[in-house]
Amino acid sequence: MNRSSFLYALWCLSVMGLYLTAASQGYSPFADGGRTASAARAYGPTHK
Amino acid sequence: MQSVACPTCGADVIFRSAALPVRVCDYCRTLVVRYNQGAQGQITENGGEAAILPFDVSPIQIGTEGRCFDQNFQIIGRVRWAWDDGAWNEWLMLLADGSHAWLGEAMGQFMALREVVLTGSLAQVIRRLMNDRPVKPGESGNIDGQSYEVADVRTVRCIGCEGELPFTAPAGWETLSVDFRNRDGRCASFQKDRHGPTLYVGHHVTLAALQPRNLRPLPGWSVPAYG
Amino acid sequence: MAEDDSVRSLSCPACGGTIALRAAGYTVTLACEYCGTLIDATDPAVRIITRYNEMQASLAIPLGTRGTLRGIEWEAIGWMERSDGWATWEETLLFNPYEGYRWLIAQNGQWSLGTMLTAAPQRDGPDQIVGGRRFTPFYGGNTARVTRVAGEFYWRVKPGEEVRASDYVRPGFMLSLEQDDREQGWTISELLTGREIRAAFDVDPPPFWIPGMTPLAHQPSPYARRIKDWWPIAALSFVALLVLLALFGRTMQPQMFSLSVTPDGPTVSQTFGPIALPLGKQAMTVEALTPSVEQGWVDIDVSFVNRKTQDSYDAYALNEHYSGQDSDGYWSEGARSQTLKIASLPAGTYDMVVDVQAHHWGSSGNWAFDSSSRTYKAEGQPPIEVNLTVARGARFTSNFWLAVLMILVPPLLMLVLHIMFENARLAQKDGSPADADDWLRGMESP
Repeated sequence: MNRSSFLYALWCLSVMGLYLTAASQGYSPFADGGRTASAARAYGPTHK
Repeated sequence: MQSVACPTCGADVIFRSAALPVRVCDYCRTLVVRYNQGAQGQITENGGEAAILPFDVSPIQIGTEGRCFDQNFQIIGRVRWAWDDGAWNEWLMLLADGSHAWLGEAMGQFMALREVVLTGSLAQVIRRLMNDRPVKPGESGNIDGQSYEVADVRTVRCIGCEGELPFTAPAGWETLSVDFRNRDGRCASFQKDRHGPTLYVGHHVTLAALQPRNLRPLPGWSVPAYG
Repeated sequence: MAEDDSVRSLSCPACGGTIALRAAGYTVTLACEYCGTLIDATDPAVRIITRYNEMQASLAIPLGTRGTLRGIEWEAIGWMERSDGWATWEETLLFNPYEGYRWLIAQNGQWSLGTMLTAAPQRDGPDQIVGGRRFTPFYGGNTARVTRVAGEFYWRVKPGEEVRASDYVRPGFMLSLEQDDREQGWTISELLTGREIRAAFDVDPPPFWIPGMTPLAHQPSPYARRIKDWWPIAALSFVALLVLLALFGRTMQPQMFSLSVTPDGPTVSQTFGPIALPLGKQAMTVEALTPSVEQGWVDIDVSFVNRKTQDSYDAYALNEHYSGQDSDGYWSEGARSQTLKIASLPAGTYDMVVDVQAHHWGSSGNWAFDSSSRTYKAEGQPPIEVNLTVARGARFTSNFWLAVLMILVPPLLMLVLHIMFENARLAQKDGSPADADDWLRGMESP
């Protein structure tokens, strides 16, 4: 296998690695929903 | 094999081929012609001395052996030809069956050629050449049932010879030489001088394909191991 | 033989320098390596053909250099520069007494090895076939002119000498016909890899083609090779991704919840739970089904609220269905079911907070003015059932397609570069413009 093929295979492997990571984290940039930008909906007083 | 004494210098002149009438004396370069088996050698009528061959680096030499036309051969003679812009060697091969053939060596390429009789229906190109009409490179015609193209057309002159020859080859002898080739690696050569036309047909060969032995060693170069 | 060396030396009649004759007997023209004067080597007295004052160019392969190319040792004995009017190239004559001659042709930093053919090619339409290999016409009827020479040649070469040349190509190879009035000769030149030419003769490495450079007519596209090398890797990766897609993202432990909402009525808000998520992060799939929605739409807001941290993970679904009759007959549009996938929920216990509001569309039914919102609202519509199926895990096909796209990006980039390369190469073609055949041929391996 020549160098360019090796590098491309490495690229493909890293893409699959990313896919696996996303799958294991249940992550997708195109999910219908996720953590809300407005963060936590706090209930109750915030006074300290 | 027959040995005669050179009529000029008295050295032994050995004829290896029974069929060939001409031999160049290795010592004094006299062209010795044999008229019949028992006769003494004689100097030819037209001067008789072959020019000294200029130094060249051909890998072939007299005594080189190999295989060609499905037979063993031995190189026994050579004629060197030149034209305005170059020179080449025609080596005479004595084949195992006693016949002879030519090994042309030009520009590092080799052609094995045998004379064919100029009879029967000849290609238009050949008939034009026989009638001294002009022919151009690239023209095509049939020779011996094969289609050929004209590769080059030139007037050449003999500049030297050595060993045994089927004809006398005095220096300065001029002839028209036309080379043909085809797409299978076959080649043909037409020659015409004042004595008449001759046609040779054969094929291109590589040195390796000849399985040569006893090649000329050239200092500074290693002789390849063939076969 | 009396000679004990294969090299003759003679002195230049112009400058007196000692020059070596390396292919004695074959060489006709010898150019003095010191002053460039052309000498007739067939004349025993050594005669000047042309006298040059011009100094020799510094040659990439100095004459007399030996190198082993494909197992055969060659000596560089002659050099000439030729031009056809717009391109200039250099040809170095290689000699080995047992092998004959070869040419090393250098153009644009690329090197080709030229071998004279002994057999004429076979013509097939516009193409030429040599040894079963097809060559297509590229340059036609150019005049190649010798501009400078040095060293030895087997013919009487001199600057200004012209031959008519036609070239046929296939990737990696060029078939050239050169002819004048006396002879015609065919040569095949093969493009040498940088590694081959550098191993034989120490020359500068050939440049790698980048957009803007002019490729040689027979230069194979380096990108075509990559595309061909890469596609099995891409196919394998695609299959592997399919396997990963099948293996991961299964949904587990579905839970069903339902509520009902009145069209144009108040927003119904309800909390379901607890929903327990074990270790790690995972996605949730919520299937929202409203089987009875008709001539209206339902807004469904789903939030997963972590009981401990109160972090909220939100998604929104819109279920709608409309239908009617027109001149084409019955029509309907809209979807009564939506699947929501919510990404990356940390482990914990969640409540699902659902806010649902239904609306009616159209003029049928009873309408009443609602003073609080100052709009007319439908009355008397049957309530709409909302069924929610919540399951752990989600299969994100978007991730799969994104990964496929990322795998395809490098080959697509190579394809673009290959097209640019072939455009630049075929732009030089003489005669009929490049057609699809020329393009396909460019993809072939050398």
